[in-house]
Amino acid sequence: MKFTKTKVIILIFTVFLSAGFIGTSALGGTNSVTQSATGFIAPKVLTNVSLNDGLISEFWVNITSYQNISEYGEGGFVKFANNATHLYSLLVFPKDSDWVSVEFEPDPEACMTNLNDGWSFYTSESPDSVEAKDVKFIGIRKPEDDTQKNLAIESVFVDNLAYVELVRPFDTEDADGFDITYSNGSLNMLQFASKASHFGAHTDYYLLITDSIIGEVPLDPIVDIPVGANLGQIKFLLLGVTPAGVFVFIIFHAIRRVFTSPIQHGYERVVGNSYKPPTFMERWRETFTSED
Amino acid sequence: MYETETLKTEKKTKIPENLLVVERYKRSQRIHHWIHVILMVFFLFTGFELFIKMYFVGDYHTTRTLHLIFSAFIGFWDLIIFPAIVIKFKKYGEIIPTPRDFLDMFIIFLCAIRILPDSKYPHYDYYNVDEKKYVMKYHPAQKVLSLTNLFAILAMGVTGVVLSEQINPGYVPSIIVDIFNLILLPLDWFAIDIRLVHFFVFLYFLMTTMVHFYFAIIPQNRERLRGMVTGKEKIPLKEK
Repeated sequence: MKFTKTKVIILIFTVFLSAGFIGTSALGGTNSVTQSATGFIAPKVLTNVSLNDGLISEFWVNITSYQNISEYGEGGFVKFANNATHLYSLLVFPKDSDWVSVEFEPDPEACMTNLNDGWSFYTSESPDSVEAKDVKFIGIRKPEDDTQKNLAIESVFVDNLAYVELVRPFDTEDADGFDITYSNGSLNMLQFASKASHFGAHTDYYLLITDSIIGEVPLDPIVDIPVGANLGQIKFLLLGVTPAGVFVFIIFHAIRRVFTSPIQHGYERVVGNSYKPPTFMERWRETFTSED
Repeated sequence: MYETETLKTEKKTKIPENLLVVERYKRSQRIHHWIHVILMVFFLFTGFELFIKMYFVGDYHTTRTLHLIFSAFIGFWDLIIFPAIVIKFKKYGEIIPTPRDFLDMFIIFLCAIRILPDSKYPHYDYYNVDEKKYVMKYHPAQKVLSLTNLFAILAMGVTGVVLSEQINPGYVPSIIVDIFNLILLPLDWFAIDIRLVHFFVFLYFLMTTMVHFYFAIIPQNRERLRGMVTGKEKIPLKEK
């Protein structure tokens, strides 16, 4: 049999690589992607927090806070809480801050230089408002908005302070946004910054997620967190599907052209001066009009 | 007369006795190809590391720096050196696809799915023994890829530079970044993410590299692969 050894090598190579790519794809899917039937993540629905009642929920009183965060200016503090699936936060800062931010897992030696997950809040005073952005840091400049937005907030203004209640799913499934995935027991460093403290030193804080349930949280209204097309998911999907498609082609070709009826290119390839490459029409005629 | 080589003992195979030994690739072409392969492997690998956020050598910063260094080399190697070689050796006719090449690809596909018999298969490389040169040399798909690769590398470079400058500005002269941003302006109109385009070009290279590698190692192309290593190809002479 012709080329038996080579054929066996190709077959083994193809099978192993196929397994490798399928494995890689599956790994990506397990860690980063949860697919719905349509290939997109369904919008997250929260059912246990009130974000449009114009009030700061009372349960924050009993939550331990990060007191006196100097980066946020006078009166600034932050609180975190969680249930089994979502992270809750209350962020308080002067309403004339222009902007404040949180960076998760910052590089201890140089903040904002990595593709780190973060939140940015832009304030405006006429009328009082806060715009929350789910972001990734991209260097010493304005962070880039995530395509997929996973924050839901309500802002309330008392005296000169802005109070922002925020809810975010533990797992946003946003690989493209470099979002951190939280879980029970996870410990993450974070730093705070504002326009006023931008170039100063930043204290390292740590956020520990414990398996506690927030009590006394109003059950309505339902809050839909806006979610765009999840590019991270699409990319992981394509990263699995594309090589798989190529392998299907390779297997088809190998069966058809290597194992069963290989084309023998060799015997007519040496020509003389009389040979002229066919034109389009000559090729067309010799292929589709002449007798085989 | 032309050079021939006779295989001494071939008991178990049906390889013809007489083979014509010809030069398929010049040394400069081979050096270009293999350096391109090495650069591309590291380029794709470091890009993949950045994508999955797992770094096998160093950390994010190291990997990103390596990725940028390889991309700069590839840009230089494929957008300047490759055209220079093509021009120096006057190889345009060999690599620029013609309408017949697209027809050939279609016919090859029809043969593969058995709509046309294999006797209609359009052979695509011929060696002229009188002039001692190839009159046709590459598979039509190779010719198409040789051009699309250039555009893909260009797209990779433009999107890569813009993305890089977004993260760490100041490495590339601002005039170049401005020009690249202008080129990518249509993406903004259609709200297409630059990083997504960069990723699609990566997929293109992943796909074409896999296919190219597969075709390079199949038995029918063994001599062509040998040509890319040694420069020489052994073509079986027509049996009388």
